[in-house]
Amino acid sequence: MLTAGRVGRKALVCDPVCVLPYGHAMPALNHYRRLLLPRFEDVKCLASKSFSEKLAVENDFEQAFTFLYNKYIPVMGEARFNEMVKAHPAFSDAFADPYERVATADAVDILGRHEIASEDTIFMPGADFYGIVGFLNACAARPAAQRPKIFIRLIGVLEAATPFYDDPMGELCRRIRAASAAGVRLYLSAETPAYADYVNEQTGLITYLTPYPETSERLPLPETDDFNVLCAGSARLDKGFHHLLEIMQGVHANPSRRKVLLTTQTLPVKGSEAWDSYTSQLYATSGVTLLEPVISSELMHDLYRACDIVLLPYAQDVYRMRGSAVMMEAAGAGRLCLTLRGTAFSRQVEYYGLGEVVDTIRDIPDAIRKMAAMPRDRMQGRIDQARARFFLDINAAYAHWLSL
Amino acid sequence: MNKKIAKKRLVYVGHHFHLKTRSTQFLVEALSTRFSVTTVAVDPENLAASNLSFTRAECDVVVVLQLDFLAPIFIARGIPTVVVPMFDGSEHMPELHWQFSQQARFVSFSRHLHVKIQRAGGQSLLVKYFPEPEAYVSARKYRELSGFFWERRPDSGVDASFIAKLVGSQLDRMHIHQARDLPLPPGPNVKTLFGDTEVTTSTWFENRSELSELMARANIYFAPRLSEGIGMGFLEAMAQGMAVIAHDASTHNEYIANWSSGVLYSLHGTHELVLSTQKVAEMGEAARQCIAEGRPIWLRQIDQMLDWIDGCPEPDVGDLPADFLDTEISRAYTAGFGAYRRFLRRNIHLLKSLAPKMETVASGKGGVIDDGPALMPALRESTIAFGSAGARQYLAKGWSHDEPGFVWVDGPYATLNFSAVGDLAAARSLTIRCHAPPLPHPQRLAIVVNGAFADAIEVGSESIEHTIALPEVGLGALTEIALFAEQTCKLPGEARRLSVAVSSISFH
Repeated sequence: MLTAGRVGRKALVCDPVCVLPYGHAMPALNHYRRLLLPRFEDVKCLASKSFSEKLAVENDFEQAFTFLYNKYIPVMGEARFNEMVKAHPAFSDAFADPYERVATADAVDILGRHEIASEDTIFMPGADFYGIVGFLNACAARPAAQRPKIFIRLIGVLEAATPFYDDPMGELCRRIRAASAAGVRLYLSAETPAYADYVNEQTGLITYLTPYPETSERLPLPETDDFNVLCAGSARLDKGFHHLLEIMQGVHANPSRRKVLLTTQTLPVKGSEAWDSYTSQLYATSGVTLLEPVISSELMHDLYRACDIVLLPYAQDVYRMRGSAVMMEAAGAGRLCLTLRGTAFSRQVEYYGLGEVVDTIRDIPDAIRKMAAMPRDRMQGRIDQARARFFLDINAAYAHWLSL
Repeated sequence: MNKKIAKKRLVYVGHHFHLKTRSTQFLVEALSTRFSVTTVAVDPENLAASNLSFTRAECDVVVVLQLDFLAPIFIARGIPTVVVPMFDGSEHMPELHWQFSQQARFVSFSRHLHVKIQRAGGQSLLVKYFPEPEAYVSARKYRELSGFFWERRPDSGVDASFIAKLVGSQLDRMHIHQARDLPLPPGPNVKTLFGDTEVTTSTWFENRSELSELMARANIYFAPRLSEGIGMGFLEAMAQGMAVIAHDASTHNEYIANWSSGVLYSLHGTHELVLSTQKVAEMGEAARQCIAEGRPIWLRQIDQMLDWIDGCPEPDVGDLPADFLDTEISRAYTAGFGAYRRFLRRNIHLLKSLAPKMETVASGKGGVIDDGPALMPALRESTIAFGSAGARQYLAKGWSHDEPGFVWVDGPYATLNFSAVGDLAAARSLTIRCHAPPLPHPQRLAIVVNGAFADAIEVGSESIEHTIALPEVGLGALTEIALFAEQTCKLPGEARRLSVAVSSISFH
């Protein structure tokens, strides 16, 4: 927990991409509200206008941002999306980047409506291209006395999600550099060391390291004879769903003393037709439990409780810079993970001892067998040590960063 | 005073064939643990003979097994409706078929069907049935390879000759039970097909124990059909520790891990399998273990399934024409697959009431039906590969069922409908790969695009590609391609009149 005294009047925790009723965005807004509350007189959470109205009321979120990422997170039909964006008063197709005008208008509206001034803070826990650009434009247009501090946490997901630039990430970093030079108070952090260094190189601004904060209590390891492997989070090809059959075949080829069970979600039903036969074979494989593509956060919590380790066979190229929310959740729940070397978060796994790192998919079955053979008390001890180091560093990082 | 709570009244509507063979008796037994069950046996060929006139006042929930098309009738009467479709019967049903029952709940025993229903916007619970493993003999003789094959549907391509191609003369013994589901003409003498394998045959058993005894002597079971709804036969074989060899389709491929607990083959382009007694023994043991591990999971799922049925909501009837659906949907279904599809498309306006939660094209919001203004399915790929599930949506009139890699035109005339998306609308030529049945003269096939004659080609018995130019305007946004064949032929034991088998159509 952060214990420093209050540093600001008002904080807006903003996630324009918080649109789905499941996944990490919704809980993340709540987590960061809790993190910031001791430091501000008032903390408000702002989500997408397309977020569920019911959930917005339940979570006390304001539906504030026009959703501009339907191409990346298709939550509605294309026609409906176009209709919605075109209905925005600021939209005009004639401009080089018509979405920027929408995002800027939303940001201007938010700053005005919340009477944001220089002692206030905009906090973006999972920053996106148009969220950042919108606030930078809105702040630049304000007198210095009315410009809030902007804390941008970069997670490498939607920072480059725009169809209007040849080099979206380069464009974003150029905007950040320009805004900083123009006097907008910007404070950057990234989810992984590799990404933090990259952003620093591109923007020239010091970029801190802020993995996901501690969000759950440590859960005791299950007392079962079987060894339960959880491939947690939404099933995607870049998260290695297509390797799971090979991994389980490798496990069965040389069985360990404890029977290995694998639980995973399945690919989204629409658009995954080419993977139906593969998924059928995974469904036929001994010890594999397939869950629906979308599950409740309660079930997710139960799955963490029931598993021994968390498997993250993520694509090394896609995750070269990116962190893994599941890896950080697993650390919070007290579970070691097993992942591939080459991702940005695998460096954190190795440095803190948060699990095992192997070079290739073919090495995973053997690593599972070794972890299954580890005495429970030894595994528990290793988790406690890794967890303590990891979260001490994270808490210190947030405390320092937010005090800037 | 303890007052006994009355069980909910459930009407179970099942196919008379299943009720006769008791293959789904386990489901009735499970339902009876929570509901007061009344069973109605339906012969789809003679629907009038079944009493389906019950009302909401007479039952609390209806469960329809396999006869999916009946569900809208009960929905229109305001009865909570649960559909248990079977993969082998409903695999090729169009999206509209599921959307007409969107207010029903589904229980799927096939994962493939489960996701298909979800893709159409339906609510489905996936369950996986496993028989009782202890009820069967688990000890197998592995010193020799001994096969069992029930030649039920030789018309599907899975016949004794095909099995002989799969295994050659590798088996020591082979028993073929020649009791066919349909009255088909006899095939070749099976005793000559397997080289020096000792082949025995049977055609009839006085009682089931004789069949069980025969199966108990074998350690390899050849699944008799291309696909299954649940697959009691091959599951019982797995429970007995037999290595099952089956076509790679649901539900076979949802139980059999290929070359681990059995073998999956493709009907198209299969070569001889290499079997050894050790591998067969390992696969048989893995199969038996699969059933033993799955059984407790299924027993836990029963409660989940009963909760799902129990919680099925009452449909929002709105202004549904219950009397119209009562008569017409059954008539359309029994008139044939094409007639049923056309009926659904002609009555798409009913979705406003049958599926009120769906967005429709008419509302201008996009949504589930993205087929374009004439409700034609959108074509985004430049090739339509016939014989695959993805192509079926484009086949309008005159097409027979899917076969591996092609579809026959049944009769002299067939049409395809689609709305070409993007660059496809401007396509200037078309390539069709097709072949004809054995005919006295080469087949002539005329191709008409959007009412304009494009070309006529000569089609032989070998599958080859023909490229023709399209009319100047290209395909356009809404396309109908009609094929007119000069001749048809009726093969022995074949109800269809075959004219041309189309494998693919590509646009350039």
